[in-house]
Amino acid sequence: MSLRIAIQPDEVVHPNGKRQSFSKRWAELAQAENIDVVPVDVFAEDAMACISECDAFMWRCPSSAHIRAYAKRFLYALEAGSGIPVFPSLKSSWYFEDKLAQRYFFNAADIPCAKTDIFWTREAAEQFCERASYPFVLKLAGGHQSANVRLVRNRREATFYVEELFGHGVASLGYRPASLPRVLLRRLRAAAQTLEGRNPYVPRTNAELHYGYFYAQEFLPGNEFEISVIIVGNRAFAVRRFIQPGDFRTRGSSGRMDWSPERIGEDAIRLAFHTAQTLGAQSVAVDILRRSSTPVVIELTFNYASWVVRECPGHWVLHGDPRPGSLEWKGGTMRAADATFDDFLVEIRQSSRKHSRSLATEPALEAPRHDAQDCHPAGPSYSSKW
Amino acid sequence: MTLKIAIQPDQVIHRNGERQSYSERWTELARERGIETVTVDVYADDAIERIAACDAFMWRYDPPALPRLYASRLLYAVEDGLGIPVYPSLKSRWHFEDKVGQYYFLRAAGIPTPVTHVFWTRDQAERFCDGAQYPLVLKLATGYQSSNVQLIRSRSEALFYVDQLFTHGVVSLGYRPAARARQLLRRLRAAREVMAGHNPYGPTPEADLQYGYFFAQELLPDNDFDTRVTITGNRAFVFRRFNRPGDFRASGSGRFDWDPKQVGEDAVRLGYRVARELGSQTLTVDILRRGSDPVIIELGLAYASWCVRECLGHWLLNGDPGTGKLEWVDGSMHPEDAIFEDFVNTLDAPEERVAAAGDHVRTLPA
Repeated sequence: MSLRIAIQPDEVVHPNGKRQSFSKRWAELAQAENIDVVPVDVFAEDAMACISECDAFMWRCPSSAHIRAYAKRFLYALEAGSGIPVFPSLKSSWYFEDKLAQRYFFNAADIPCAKTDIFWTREAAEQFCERASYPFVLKLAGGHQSANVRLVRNRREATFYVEELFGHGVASLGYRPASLPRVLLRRLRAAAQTLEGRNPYVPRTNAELHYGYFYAQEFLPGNEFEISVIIVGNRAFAVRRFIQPGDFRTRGSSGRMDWSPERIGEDAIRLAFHTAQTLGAQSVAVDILRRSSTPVVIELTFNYASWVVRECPGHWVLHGDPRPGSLEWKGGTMRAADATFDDFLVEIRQSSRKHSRSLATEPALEAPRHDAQDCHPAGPSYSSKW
Repeated sequence: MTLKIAIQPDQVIHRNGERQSYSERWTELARERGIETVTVDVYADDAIERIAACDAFMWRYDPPALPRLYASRLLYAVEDGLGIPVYPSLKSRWHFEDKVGQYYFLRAAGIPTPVTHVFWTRDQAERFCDGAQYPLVLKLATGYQSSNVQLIRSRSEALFYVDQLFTHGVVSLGYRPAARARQLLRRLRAAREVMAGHNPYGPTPEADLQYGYFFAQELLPDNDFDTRVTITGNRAFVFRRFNRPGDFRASGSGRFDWDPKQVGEDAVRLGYRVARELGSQTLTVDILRRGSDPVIIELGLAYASWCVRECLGHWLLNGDPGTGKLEWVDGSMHPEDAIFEDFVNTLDAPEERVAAAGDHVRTLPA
């Protein structure tokens, strides 16, 4: 009997206009391997039943808060409950858009990282602000392409953000400290919205409400670029992303980049391999800066842009342990979707399914089936061609 | 070499005045077994360093948002990053205070639940409310002792909650639908809070914000009680909790019956099945009946120790949950003892220690 893989369609159009769909490419690759592909709509009520009839499940889930809140539950429930291989696995996705969890992991696993303090009470955060060395970098747990990252230059600014994060909470670090009249004006506007029945501090589809913590990271000057190393299995693809003029941040995959492999530094590649292996991740992008000359990990990303990988003139293959193992350079471009699919196929073939089961049937309440387009306005229709 | 276990202190005073501290009991038990304990403060800067110097870590934390959201991150880092065994393990805790995640897990594992619908868009939820059969039970993912569980009797009531859950979100299901005048009064109060710089619908250290989903479950009438099966290792402690007077909810009612004869074997086996599927060190399984079949309504982790201690004895499972032999053992037992015993036995097994340590070899230069 041939293998069956359930795949959730995905499609992203990047700011540079490049279109990306891991699911379409996976479906092509599956077809070439004579593997049946079952397109699923994870938001449909029969999603679990549909997937349970397959041998594996793949979903390149986007980073928007609402879908992520769902995906984290759904993916792990599926992995733990059904026992089928899932991409991304828990080990590949638990840290997704959660810099707090990443920091604790780096410390526990002794992975060199930027010095970071996290405070869970207002008092502890305020005490920190009194004695902190400025500037430091304030971050929210979530946010990609340098969103929700601020350079805090003095105690007044820091106190403003403490107030925001332990007061009403924020969906982004959009607001800057302001004079009292301006603050009152902001509040007045917010109060007017509240009277109309619209909460100004409402979480949004693409951004959750951040509150109750304060994340402060040391500022590492002298870095003109950050190194992003994308690991897929034992392959490493690397790119340098330059900071924006007059800023300390890059623009993610929207700014100036350089793919010259000789500029990356072997230590950064090995650190990224070490991080990925410690995580046990199927794939991860590791963002690295340098403290003096030593590479330190800044952040992990799961849903990197595939075109950035495709632009790499080649990739490294690690043989053995990240530190002493040999690094082999392989020239030629490769798609991230191909690498993840190749590895996942090996995982599927090696796995023996935990259960052979059909789901417990539930008599339906009067629940009309929803339209898949509701959840994926930018996505293809689920019965569409692949 | 002596085993060293890092323990985070905990203490709860229950509503009936019962004082509970798992950590104090674990420390006593450790002393009896010649195991060294290291008291840690998980919120201190050096928490990870102190834990790293030990062979294992135990923390019985409570459901409120602040410890829970922190614990889930710290424990993962310790368990997977540091590679030392922790209580509760990921498999024991990932579902804690997340009824939505629990539902998806039970579905994926083919374990019976009441008919449940989870909607992730307002439009879906509203369409469901148009055609739903009332009454139905609305739940938030979080909430214990029946908080955040409401009986919804009509479409207008359901739509009120849809609006709350897909706009500002809620920290509890405390507000009920109200007349227009009352609604305006609520808004006025909320606007006053905004002027003071607060978020009137904001999260608190006790409760995180719930929004963007609608979790509806069928009402199962004719259940005067729920059955709670507490599994620790291969032991099952059972009791029944009767509904509050004039209510459909049992959790937190304080009306217990510990007579094991009143609990069906099928419920006990179902409890074992869930624990095995999860690979959980301990959990509570709350069960109702749909007709004569047991179905699971909720899983829990931070249960009250005294309720388990009141059990006249417990079941031991030998073999598979479906067919294995159930043996009754007389006498009460502290659940914290059972948890500690199982946890330490795992530490004692060298091969399991190696497995728990994983592949995390600290070889990178500092």
